[in-house]
Amino acid sequence: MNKKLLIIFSFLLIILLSLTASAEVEIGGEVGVDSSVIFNNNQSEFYLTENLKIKLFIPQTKSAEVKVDFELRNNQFGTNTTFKKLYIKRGYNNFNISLGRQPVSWSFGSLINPVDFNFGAEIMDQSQSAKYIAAAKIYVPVNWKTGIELVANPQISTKTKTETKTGIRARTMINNYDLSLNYINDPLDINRKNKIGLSLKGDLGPLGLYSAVSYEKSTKQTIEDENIYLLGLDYSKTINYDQRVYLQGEVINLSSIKLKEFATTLLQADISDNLELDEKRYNLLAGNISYSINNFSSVNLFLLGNINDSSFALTPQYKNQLPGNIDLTISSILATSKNKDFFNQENVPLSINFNLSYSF
Amino acid sequence: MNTNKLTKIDFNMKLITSFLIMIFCLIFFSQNMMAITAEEIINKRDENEYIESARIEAKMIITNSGREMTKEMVSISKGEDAFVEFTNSRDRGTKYLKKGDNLWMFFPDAEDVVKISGHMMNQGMMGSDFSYQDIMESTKMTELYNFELIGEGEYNNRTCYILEATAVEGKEVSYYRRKIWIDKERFIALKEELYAQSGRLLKVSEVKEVDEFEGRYYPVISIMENKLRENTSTEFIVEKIEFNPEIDESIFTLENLQ
Repeated sequence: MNKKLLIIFSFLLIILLSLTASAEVEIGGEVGVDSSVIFNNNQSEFYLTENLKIKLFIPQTKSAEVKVDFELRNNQFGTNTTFKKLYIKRGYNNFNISLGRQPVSWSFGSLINPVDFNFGAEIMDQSQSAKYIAAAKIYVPVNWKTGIELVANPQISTKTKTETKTGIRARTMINNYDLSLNYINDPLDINRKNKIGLSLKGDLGPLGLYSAVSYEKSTKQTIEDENIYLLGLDYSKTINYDQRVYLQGEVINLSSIKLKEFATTLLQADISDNLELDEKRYNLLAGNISYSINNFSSVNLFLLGNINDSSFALTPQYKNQLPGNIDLTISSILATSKNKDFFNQENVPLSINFNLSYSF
Repeated sequence: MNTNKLTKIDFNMKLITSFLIMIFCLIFFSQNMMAITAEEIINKRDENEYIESARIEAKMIITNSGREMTKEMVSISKGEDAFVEFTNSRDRGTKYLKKGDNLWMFFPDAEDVVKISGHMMNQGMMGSDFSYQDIMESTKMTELYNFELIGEGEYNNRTCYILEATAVEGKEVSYYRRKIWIDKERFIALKEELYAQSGRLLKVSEVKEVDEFEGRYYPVISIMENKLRENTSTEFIVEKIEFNPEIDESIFTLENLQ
C-alpha cells in the first residue's frame, strides 16, 4: 500500500470509528477472500485477493441522506481503495438531487443492458465498476409510477479539458409494462455522440417479457448509425413442491463493431481479435439457469454466446451459506469456440474461483 | 269398560310420545340454530388475522439441519399495497414495493429498481419458505377457499374447531387443501396442515404465541415446518405491530423505493 493511500485510509478509519462511537452511525459490510486458479498452456497460476467492503449507515433526516460505501482490495499486485459511494442526497418538494460518487444504473431486468448510461454497468447480473461514477443526479417524480432522471457526469478528455456526459431517463408504467426512454449525449464518443434507448418489461401470460432498442446516431459521414435490438424472457417454477428453478434468456441483435465492443467489455479482455468488421448482423445469446437446492444453497449457470459461429462461454456457479454466516461461492469459466470469431478460445483459459465472504 | 281403559291408555301414550317428539324437535332445532357455521368461524378468524393496514417489525429464522439464517424486516401495508425493507446485515437496504399485482425490487448495492416478473410472486422471498404473496398480501381466506366444519378437538390444551378448506375453483393458491385448528375462544388458527392437490402433506404451521392488541388477537410467533425435508422450518416472529396506523401514500411510490 503506498504511503499516501495508507494515510488517507487511516484518517478515514479514525473518522468512521469516532462517528460510530458518538452518533447512531452503524457500520456494515463484508470481508471476503477470493482465490483463483487459472489453467493456461499446461501451467496453473494461483491468485489470492482479500477484500473489505465498508458501508456506513448514517441516520437520514427527513430531507437529507448521506451514503458512504468503500472497498479495499489487496493482492500480490498491490492494494487499492475505491469509493463506490460517497454522495449526499437532498430532497425538495418537487425533486431530489444527489451529488458525488454514486451508482447510475438504468437497469430493467436484462442480463446485458445495451441502453444503460454506461455500457458494461450491468453484466450477467453482476454490478460492475462502470456503474459507480462521479455525477450530479436529479430525480423528478411525476406520480407514484412515473419519474424523470437527469444525469451529468464530468469526465477528463485531455490533461486540460473536461467534458460532461449527460443523460435523461423517463420511466413510467403503461398496462403493467415498465417503460423507459433514455437519451445520452457523450462528447467523448467521437463516432456516435447521441444515443437513444427504449426498454420495456412486463408479463406475457406465465412468462416475464422484456425488450430494448438502442439507436446511436453517427457524427461522421463515413460511419454508419448503430442499432441494437434485445428480446428476453424469464420463467420460474417450483418443482417437487419446494425446489425452485429460474430460467432467463435473451437475444441481442447487433453489428460486428458492436459485437467486438460487447465481447471486449463482457469478457473483460480484448479477446475478439479474430472478428472481422463486416456488414453482417450478429446474434448474441445470454442466459441464466438458477436452481435452489434448499434455503441455503443454489446452483447457477450463466451463458454468453454468439449464435452465428456457435462460440459460447459458460460460467457454472455453486453458492452455499455455511454455518457462521459465511458464504461460499465456487465458480468457473469454460469457453468453447468453433471458428474463433466471437472470442479466441485460447485466450479464455479455464479458471476456477473460490470465494468466502462474511457479512456484518 | 276395558275398551275405554285401553283407549285412555292409548291416548295418554300418544300424548306422551307427541310431547317427547316436540321436546326433541325443540332441542334439535335450537341446537342447530345456535351452532356456529364454518363460514362464521373463518370470518371471526379473519376479523383477527386479516390486516387492512399495519406496520410490522418482524424476523424470520430459517433452520435447515442445524443451520440457521435470520432475516429481519419492516413491513408497511395498506390494502393491496405493501412496502418491505430488510434490515439484517446480509440483506440490509433491500426493499420491495407491491402495488396491486405489480412488484418492484430495490437492489441496495447498485441502487437499481427493477420490476419483478409476475411468476415470481409465488416463489420464496429472499430464500425463505414464505412467498412474496405470503408476506406482502393479506387476503381474506373466504375469498380463496370453501370451508367445512369437520369436528372439534384439543390443541395445546385449548379447545378448537377443526375446519377443512378446499381451494375455490380458478383461484391461484399455494396449497390446495388445508386442515385448520381454530381456537374456540380467541378465533386464531393455532395449527394448519397444508396439503397439495395430490393429498400429500407439504407443511405444518403452528402458532406458538398469541397476543391481544386493542381487542383483537394476533399470532406473534409461528413456525412453519417443511414436511418434505427433515429438520427444515421457518419461524416467523412479529416483534412489533401497529394496526391501522397513519400511512402516507408516498410510501407506496417508486421514488420512495430508491
